[in-house]
Amino acid sequence: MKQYILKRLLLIIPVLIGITIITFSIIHLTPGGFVRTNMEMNVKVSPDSMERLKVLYGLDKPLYEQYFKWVWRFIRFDFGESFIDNRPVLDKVLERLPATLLLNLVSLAVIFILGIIIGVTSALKRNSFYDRFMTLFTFVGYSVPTFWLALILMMLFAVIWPILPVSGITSFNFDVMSLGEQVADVIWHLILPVFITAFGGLAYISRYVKSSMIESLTQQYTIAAYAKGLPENKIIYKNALKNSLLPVITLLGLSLPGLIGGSFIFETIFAWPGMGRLAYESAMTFDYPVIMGTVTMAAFLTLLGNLIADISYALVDPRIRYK
Amino acid sequence: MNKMIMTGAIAAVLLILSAIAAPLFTSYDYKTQDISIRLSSPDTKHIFGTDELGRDVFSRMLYGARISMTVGIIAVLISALIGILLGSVAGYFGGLIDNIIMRFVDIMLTIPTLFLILMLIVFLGPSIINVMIIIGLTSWTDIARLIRAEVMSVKKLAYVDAAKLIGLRKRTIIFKHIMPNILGPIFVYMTFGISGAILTESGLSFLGLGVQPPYPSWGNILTAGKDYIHTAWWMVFYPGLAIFIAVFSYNILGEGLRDYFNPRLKKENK
Amino acid sequence: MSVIEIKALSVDYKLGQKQLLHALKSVNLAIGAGEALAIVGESGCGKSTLASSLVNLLALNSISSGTVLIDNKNILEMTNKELESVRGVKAGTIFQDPAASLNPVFSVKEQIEETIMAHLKIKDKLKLKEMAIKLLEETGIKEAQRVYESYPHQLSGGQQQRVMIAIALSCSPKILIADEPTTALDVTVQAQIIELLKRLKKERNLSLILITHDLHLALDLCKRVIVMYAGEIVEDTIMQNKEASAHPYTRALFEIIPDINENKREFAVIPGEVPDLKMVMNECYFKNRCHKVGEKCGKAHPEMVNGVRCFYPYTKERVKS
Repeated sequence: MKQYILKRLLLIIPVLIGITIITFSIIHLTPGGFVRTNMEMNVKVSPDSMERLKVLYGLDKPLYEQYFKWVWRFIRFDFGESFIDNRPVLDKVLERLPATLLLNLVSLAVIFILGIIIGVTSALKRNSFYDRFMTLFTFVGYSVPTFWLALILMMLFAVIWPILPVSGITSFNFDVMSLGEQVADVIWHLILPVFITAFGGLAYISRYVKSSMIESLTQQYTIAAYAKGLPENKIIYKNALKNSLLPVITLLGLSLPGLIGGSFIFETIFAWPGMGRLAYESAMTFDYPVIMGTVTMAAFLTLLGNLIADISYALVDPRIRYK
Repeated sequence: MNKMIMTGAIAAVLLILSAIAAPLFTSYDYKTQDISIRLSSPDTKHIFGTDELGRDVFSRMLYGARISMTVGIIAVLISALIGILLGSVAGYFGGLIDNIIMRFVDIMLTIPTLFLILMLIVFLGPSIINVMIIIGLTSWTDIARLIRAEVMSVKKLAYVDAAKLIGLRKRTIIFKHIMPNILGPIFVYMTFGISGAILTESGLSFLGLGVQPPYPSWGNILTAGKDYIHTAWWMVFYPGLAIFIAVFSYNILGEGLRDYFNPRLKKENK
Repeated sequence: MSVIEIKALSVDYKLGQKQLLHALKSVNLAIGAGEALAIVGESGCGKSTLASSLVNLLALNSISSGTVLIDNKNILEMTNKELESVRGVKAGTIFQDPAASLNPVFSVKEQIEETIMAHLKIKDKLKLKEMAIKLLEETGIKEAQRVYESYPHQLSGGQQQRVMIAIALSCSPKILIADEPTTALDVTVQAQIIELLKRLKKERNLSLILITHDLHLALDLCKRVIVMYAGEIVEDTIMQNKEASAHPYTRALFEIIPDINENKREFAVIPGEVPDLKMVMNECYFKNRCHKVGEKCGKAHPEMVNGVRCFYPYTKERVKS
């Protein structure tokens, strides 16, 4: 197992290098050196900002030197300062991080728990009405544009039937609440965003779990388990289930980029103070350093998530854990 | 399962037709503004109502369909091109080239796609063409992996060696032997690619980063709709519904095709 | 007093819309306590189906009729819950591929102990461990403690099969069904497992049912041999060698196994093919391949007479048990 983990860790290095190359290339990709055309902007890029950008990326120096400077900054998480308010990019990103993490992790948990339940029960009740309904339901969820769903739900809950909050992570009187009330308040605000994210994400997981479960149930070891005279409950929910859930763990890691990426659309709609919204805001205001910072941070989170998923898998699957 | 293909295909074709034939279905131009009737609810003259500048929502949607469909199809073609190229090169040559390309795929998969797209749009500027290119540039990974796997497995088959012995050129090998196996799954991925591209484009347009006004896109009609959810529900409901139906049809089509091309699996035991 | 009694057992498999595959046709069989018998035949003859019926592990698309009595209760009519007290308790089963039959994500310890817990209701951890290690030692595993803590993929093929046997015998059943237990193993390991089965049968007085396509293996372990063909039993006798067999098919089976002492350069083969199991015919199913075929063979379906299903059987001195 140690070999496996080591190998995984080593593989990260080229990926990190690649990220630096890609981010570096994108900056220099822009035609004519950041010249904008065809764009209606709220805030035009001032000559002052352009100068600062040049200094930040050392655009007046030769290319390879610029690249190494970039990598050096990258390693120290130094993305410079925001064009808008001159605060260090890292600070801005870090203060938005918790909200994004909260949203994504809770959504991930919901998607997985529900997805596993739906997948397992669909596998057991194959081709029943329940199965077909669930397939259709998750399919619809997967095809619905999240921002549309968000808007519709906003209409529903803000206009017609105002029982759920549609913006922000906390209510305005958050500071005067007790700890318990604060926790409840955050949960209250999480309901809609998590629901919307989960609605779209269920399809893939539940389908995967379903086919994984069916696969386990038709294996020789399941037949052998029946031949041992074990009670059916144990055979399904212990023996077969464990086998089918193992690969799901890696799915956890793989879902992370999708979740983090998708969150920026409705962090914006729901005024959720997260990284995605920061990315959007900085995009709109051409705050390049912050944009680079958020994208890089997002990539880091994904890498981390994948690593954790892979290591967890190694721990849980005995075939990898022991020799 | 064939029902799925049929339904999806019919819906998809209808969508494309209505997009192409937009002028037939509406007498309104998508640009014409008439402030006097702004934000009026659906009636016989404007079946989906009017938007905040008095433009007919229905015609904006029809013309928007053109744009969304075009973006979808072209973006997918671009991604397919890149994917097939990279995938076959990686699969055929193997070794270091394969390694490099696969690391590249890993990197692309690590940066959340929407963030990457966001970054590219900001740096390259939002426009319909850029959106097409950027979506194409960021969604080729699945096809690349598929092609690579196919090429690698076919490479191992004996008859490719036999063909090589006979002296057939590499090009012939690729077209005659490898292509037929791959065509099916490519169609499947491309179909899902179209639905994904439509979703992405509308999302971007919604945020103001995609199709810019006055060009209509289902997404950017929703942008305005966002500000008027209290008063003009039709601006939110219909465009989104259109996106949903389009995405749904292509997804069903994709599912149907996937089942059709999948080798039939064994029967179940217990 | 028969431990297992099978009467008129027929099993059909549903294929597609209307077709039926007749896997077993009205099989009759009685097995006594402490008896070792082998069921021999080529692929598709129905031997695995017969083994599966003993504990009602038939596939979902099967239709069965007749009775399979174990301790006078009909297995085919039992519910899943009732079968839980038969499988593993009255009859243990070992399968062809031990690597596939052991659950890869659970340790040997867990897989043995879960069986004991389920049937003997023992919960004490130390007692369970003691029993498990004893079972492993009984099946000839040398480092019982280490194997106990291992996972299936860490064990060799022979060890895996021994673990399977330990699991099958953990609740002291009186019957052991061994479905091609050595087919997936190396030849040297095969011999070890066969010796193990012989020993265990004697020590525990098991009714051992060995399913195999290998006639020599069958004779090594058992005196009573049942030969199956096209879903029927065609011979059921106590035999040691070719001369003791009566059915032409059995004789042919003996012929085709190469003898190391002879100097033949070619392998003998039974010409022809197994008949289509979808069809029911009123003649002998072996007719087209039989070297002793005669007039009666095409006119009627032979019944079992004196342990052989043939109109023109070989006669010989039979050894009465």
